[in-house]
Amino acid sequence: MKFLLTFFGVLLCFSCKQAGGMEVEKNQVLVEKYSFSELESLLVPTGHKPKVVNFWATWCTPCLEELPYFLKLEEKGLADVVLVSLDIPSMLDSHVVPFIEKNKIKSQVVLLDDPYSNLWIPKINKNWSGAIPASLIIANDTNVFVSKPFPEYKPLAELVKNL
Amino acid sequence: MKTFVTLSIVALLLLVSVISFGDIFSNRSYSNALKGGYKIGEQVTDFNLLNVDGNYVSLADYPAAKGFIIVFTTNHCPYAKAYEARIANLDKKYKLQGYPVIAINANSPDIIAENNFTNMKVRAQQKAFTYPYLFDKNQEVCKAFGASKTPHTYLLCKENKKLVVKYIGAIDDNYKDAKQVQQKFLEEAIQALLHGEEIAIKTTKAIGCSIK
Repeated sequence: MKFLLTFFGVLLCFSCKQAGGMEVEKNQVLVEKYSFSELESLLVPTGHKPKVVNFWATWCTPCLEELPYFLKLEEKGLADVVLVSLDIPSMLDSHVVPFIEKNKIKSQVVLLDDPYSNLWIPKINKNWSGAIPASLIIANDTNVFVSKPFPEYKPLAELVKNL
Repeated sequence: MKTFVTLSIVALLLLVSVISFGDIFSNRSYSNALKGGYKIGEQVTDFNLLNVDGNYVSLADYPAAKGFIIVFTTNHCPYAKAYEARIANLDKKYKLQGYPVIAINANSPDIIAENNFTNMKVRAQQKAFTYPYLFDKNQEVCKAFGASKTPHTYLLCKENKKLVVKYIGAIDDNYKDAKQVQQKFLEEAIQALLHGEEIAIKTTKAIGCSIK
């Protein structure tokens, strides 16, 4: 009996440990922190599709309103989407990860953890004031920067299709 | 008609080429950023806005001021909150030297209730604001300034009884950690004014919550 209890105890410990490990790994995969130089490597088309990079944050209401349009764009296979969260880095586990889980977001999400924004904002677009939402649509020979929310899916899809 | 179409196309092409020059990624851009707004060196028109203490405040109420630190801020925005202590320090330090802080909330409470006047009063009380916190209810002042986000600062200086814009942009270069700041843009601009020197960096950019 004692042997059985020990056996189950050990088994339980193992399963706990494994579950805990998986949880950590899952979070790491969900949202990674990037510096701007790391982000730059994502600002190129990876295949034949245009790359759509959206700057957003969980506290930004107009960002959340347009977010489904970007997800739909990727679901329909029209573009590769990267959602760049500009949440305060300490909000990653408390706000960003739960938001991604709750909304079952499958697109790539990264958190841009680079406070020296006066240096990198003009590299995205020299006219960008730094207000979000903002989106960068990158194709091989043409790029478009949009610093206003899309009111619906159609204008976004049209813009991407007509690149 | 044909001429009109051709002219329109030429105008559009010119516009696109003008706005796209200079950055590494974008060669076309669309924006709803407020066109106009004060530029460096332009004269500011005084305003009259309701303060959290129940009184209306104008810049003319400060005859002894050499200028003003105008901060567009708000209740809900994490970036604005990250700067609250630094704004208080600026007011403490520069009010005595002639540059008081005037904070303005221009966000519509219809979109985020946390930004309504009652909550502004609560925030000002909780954080013991030492400066006026004004409600730009009709967004007229933020439009006149061209403020697009919070926090967004404008440094004004009195010249021949006129208020002139001297600096527009961020308070410093690190919203995340005041200890890691490498450049205090706004303070450097004030110091230059106090010493009668030319301001080295007159405009900067920073991430912020768009004013809605």
